[in-house]
Amino acid sequence: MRDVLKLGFILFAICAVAAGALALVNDITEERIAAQAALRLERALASVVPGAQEFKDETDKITALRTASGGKPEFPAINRVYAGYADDGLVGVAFACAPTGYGGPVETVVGVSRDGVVTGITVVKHAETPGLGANVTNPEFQRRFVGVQAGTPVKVTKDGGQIQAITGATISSRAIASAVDQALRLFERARKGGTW
Amino acid sequence: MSFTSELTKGLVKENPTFRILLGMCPTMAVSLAISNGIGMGIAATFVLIGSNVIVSMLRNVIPSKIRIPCFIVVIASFVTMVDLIMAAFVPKLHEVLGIFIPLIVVNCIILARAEAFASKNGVLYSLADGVGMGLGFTLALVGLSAVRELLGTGTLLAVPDFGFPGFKIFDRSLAAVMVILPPGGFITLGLLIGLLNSVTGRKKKARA
Repeated sequence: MRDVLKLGFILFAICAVAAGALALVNDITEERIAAQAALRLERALASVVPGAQEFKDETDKITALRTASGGKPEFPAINRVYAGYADDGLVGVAFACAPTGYGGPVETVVGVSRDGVVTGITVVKHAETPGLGANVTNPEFQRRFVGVQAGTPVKVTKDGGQIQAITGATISSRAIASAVDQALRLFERARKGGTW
Repeated sequence: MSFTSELTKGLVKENPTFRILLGMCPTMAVSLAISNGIGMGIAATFVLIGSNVIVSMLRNVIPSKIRIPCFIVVIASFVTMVDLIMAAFVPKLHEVLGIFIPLIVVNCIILARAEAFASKNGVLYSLADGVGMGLGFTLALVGLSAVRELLGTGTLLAVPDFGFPGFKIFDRSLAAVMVILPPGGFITLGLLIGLLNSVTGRKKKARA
């Protein structure tokens, strides 16, 4: 009995020290990591909606559109929506999505032009398998989505769609395809509703 | 036992991948391109050195009955700290190596060295062991990835994170995708182990 208490106490002490050290490191790095993430998002937005000079977070505008019928939340992958503007008005809309891939959420930004065509996608953060799913960051793969128009479902060829998946990484490719699909459908609904 | 022998044993004689056959999961997942192999190797070596030194320093404090949970806490905390510090201060490097870090937590080489070596030896020897094992792991990954990248994609040294397509050796249409997939990984590993065994076996015979 005494032995158990002693061992338990030692393990507790080691865990407490480790937790303290982690908290300290987190405290030091938190702000910088958040700043890096904001910078990355800014760069991602600019790359998927070329020509936009300024982005506005317009997530609030589309919240009402997401639970249309039956109360079931639609477009689960879409987190935030940023509208890109230039001098002559709206250029395009960037959708920050996090579809579930093979190793967790794949944070993807999908850019859609004013007239409903995909202008670019980029992967901001992911934990896919290096060498296979991690190829979603490959520009050659990302270009396969450029030019896809609203109105047609976006799927990988294995599911009867138009997007060639990455060899050995169907699940990761499927995640990106679903993000693009949801972004296009949400854009179409918002455009019909007169949001943009 | 000498500092140099502890340093060099991980390279060939006790190579963690080819001889001890540890850490197969990240090895199979990562050894698809040389750039991946180097990235994972560097990240794992760094964590291996750190965890070996810490475990060695704590070896007289940790009771043997609960040593495994203690090692896991030490290693997991160390990996997380490295991850956070890299993300905050060297974001460029973190973008490239970041995906390997969660894989290191499941890399049993690190726990194995803590258990088999660092918990029984002094800090300096444990440091040498960490460096040697880390380099051995890196070498094995690079060797395995070189074969798989060449046969599976027809190129060598592609670094997608820097937008570098690599050196094209032959056309992609002639490449065997199977080598990139898990079965090809195991077959390549088996052949490389066989090759290494036959080379070192011949050396031993020549000496005898």
